[in-house]
Amino acid sequence: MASAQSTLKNYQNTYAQGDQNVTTRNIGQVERWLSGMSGGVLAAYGISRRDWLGSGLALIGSALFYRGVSGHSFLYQTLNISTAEQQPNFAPGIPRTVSSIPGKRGVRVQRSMTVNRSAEDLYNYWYDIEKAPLYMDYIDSVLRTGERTSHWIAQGPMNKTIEWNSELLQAVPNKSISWHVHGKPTTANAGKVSFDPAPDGRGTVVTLELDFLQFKGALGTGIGNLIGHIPERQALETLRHFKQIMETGEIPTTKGQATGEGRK
Amino acid sequence: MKALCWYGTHKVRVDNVPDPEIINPRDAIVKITSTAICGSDLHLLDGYIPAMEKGDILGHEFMGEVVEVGKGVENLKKGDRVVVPFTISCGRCFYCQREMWSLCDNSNPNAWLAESLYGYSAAGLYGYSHIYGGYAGGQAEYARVPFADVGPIKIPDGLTDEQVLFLSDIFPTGYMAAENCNIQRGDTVAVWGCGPVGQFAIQSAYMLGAERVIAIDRFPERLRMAAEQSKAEVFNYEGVDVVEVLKQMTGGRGPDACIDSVGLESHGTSLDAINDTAKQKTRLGTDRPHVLRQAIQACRKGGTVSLPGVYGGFLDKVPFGAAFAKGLTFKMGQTHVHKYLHPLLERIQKGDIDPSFVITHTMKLDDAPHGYDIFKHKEDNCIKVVLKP
Repeated sequence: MASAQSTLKNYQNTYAQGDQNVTTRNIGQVERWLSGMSGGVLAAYGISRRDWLGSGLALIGSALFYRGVSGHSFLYQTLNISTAEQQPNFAPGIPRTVSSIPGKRGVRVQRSMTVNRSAEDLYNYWYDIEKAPLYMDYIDSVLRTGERTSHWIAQGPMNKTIEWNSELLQAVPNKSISWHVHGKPTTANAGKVSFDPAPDGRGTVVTLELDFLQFKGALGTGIGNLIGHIPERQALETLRHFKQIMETGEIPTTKGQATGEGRK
Repeated sequence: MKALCWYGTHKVRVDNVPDPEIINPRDAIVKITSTAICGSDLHLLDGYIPAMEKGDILGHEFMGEVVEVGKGVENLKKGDRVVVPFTISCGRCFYCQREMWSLCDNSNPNAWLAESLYGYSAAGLYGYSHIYGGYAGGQAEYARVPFADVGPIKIPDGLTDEQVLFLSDIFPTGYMAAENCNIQRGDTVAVWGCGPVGQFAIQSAYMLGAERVIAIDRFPERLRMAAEQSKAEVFNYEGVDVVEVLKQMTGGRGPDACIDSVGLESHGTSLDAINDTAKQKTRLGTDRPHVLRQAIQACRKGGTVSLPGVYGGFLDKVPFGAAFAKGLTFKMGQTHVHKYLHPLLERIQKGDIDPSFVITHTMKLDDAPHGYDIFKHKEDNCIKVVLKP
């Protein structure tokens, strides 16, 4: 009990806030305009070509366009350059979907989705952790091994079976569940799911925060930032499948349907 | 089974494909007795809709007999005769519960793809590209119907396939377009496009209380059908200033509501239309809003422009200044088919309308590629093709 509590405090202190976030502006105004416009033109041209070269050009164009629009360059960040004029941060409180865990320990992602069910139903279903593979298609099976622990099995790269143990840190009925992992998981090392009421009969807002430590130190580099979006997608699709199961009882799919080229 | 499959721009053919199977508990399998080709299928044929894969089965207007149900379906059984709505809806999300069935949160397995294009994903559709889920369509002998406890409507005896088939798409689409016009007593509604959706929009506008309906097209057989069957006042837009004609036909006021049942492949001969076509063929613009522009210019101040579709990408040079200056209301979107199934079936049963009037050609599923051809080129006075598997 004591160790769980101190672990929880440790978690709260260490992981409570991300510091540097990936949307820090480090490109100057004029450069942003040039980047955005040239990127837009290149992307439009690339799309209009409708071939593989065009796709490549469109990707480069989109990256340039994104760079101009966001004012953030991964390359500059890696090289520790900034061509931006110094500006105060006007919106500190908005949700950041991808941020860095303090001390460059990895990537934290956060996404929310509104589900048309009560917080109680959603909390109870998530708490029944053996059901996780139903909405986490990257997990093979989960077995409850104790009051606060569970054993997880998944497929890693090269079809190797990976296993790890998860420990519940805190469970506030109908409000939140947080956990961390012992071992090397194929997914997040720690996480928290919270349930908050959505306005006026729309159900519950489910927020999923996941910490991925295997990208330790990588967030400062261009590759790390790009990779950071994969965990973000994983959080999004996990939430989406959870919503689909809770609202409709199934996950929509076309796997196994008929096509002109056999069953796909 | 046999199915009409897409293999590239202007390339469709009937192939032998595996029979559909129950995949999810709320699925059902329907043996198709009648199915139709839709105007929006032509956008797929012409390569305007991205995210198509070779072998995709087309078709979203179909009906038939239930042959198998999954264990989650309790209201249907083997042998039931049903019409299937073209939008796939779960029935339990925020949108379905508020009758916005075509905006279902949960029926698109490729929601991430639609989100990357449109920010949010709406409902999955049968046979309409992987952006809408990549579901196998209904121009085939059998179809797998997801969420079968919510979608299909049972058809009583005494009605032929031809009378009810269009409940699947085009009748509710025309009806919703007219309903979106918020028709008041004395109103004049102008309808661009006298294809099947236009015909149902015209008749629905009268059903909903319009005093006059003016219909616009260039093909004589379509104008004739609009005048004789749907009782509209018609004119041919070629060589004519449509906006001015409509103004004079309405005592200088303009029509109270305008319905654009033409969509992204609109045809025109004015400068702006030629510019649109040039941009589209060089892939610089995606949609051709020639009709939309006319609808905005023609509509009376404070009126409504109703768009049953289909638009896919970006519009260029739309007179939004005029729309703003006139205080217009725009209503649009994919049809919320489920909302209209029962009320419109009732109207058919009462004899208010016999939807089979739009059918000009019936042929076997094997001849579907020919059907697409004459439908696209408007040959042989083709207005609507029904296929029998």
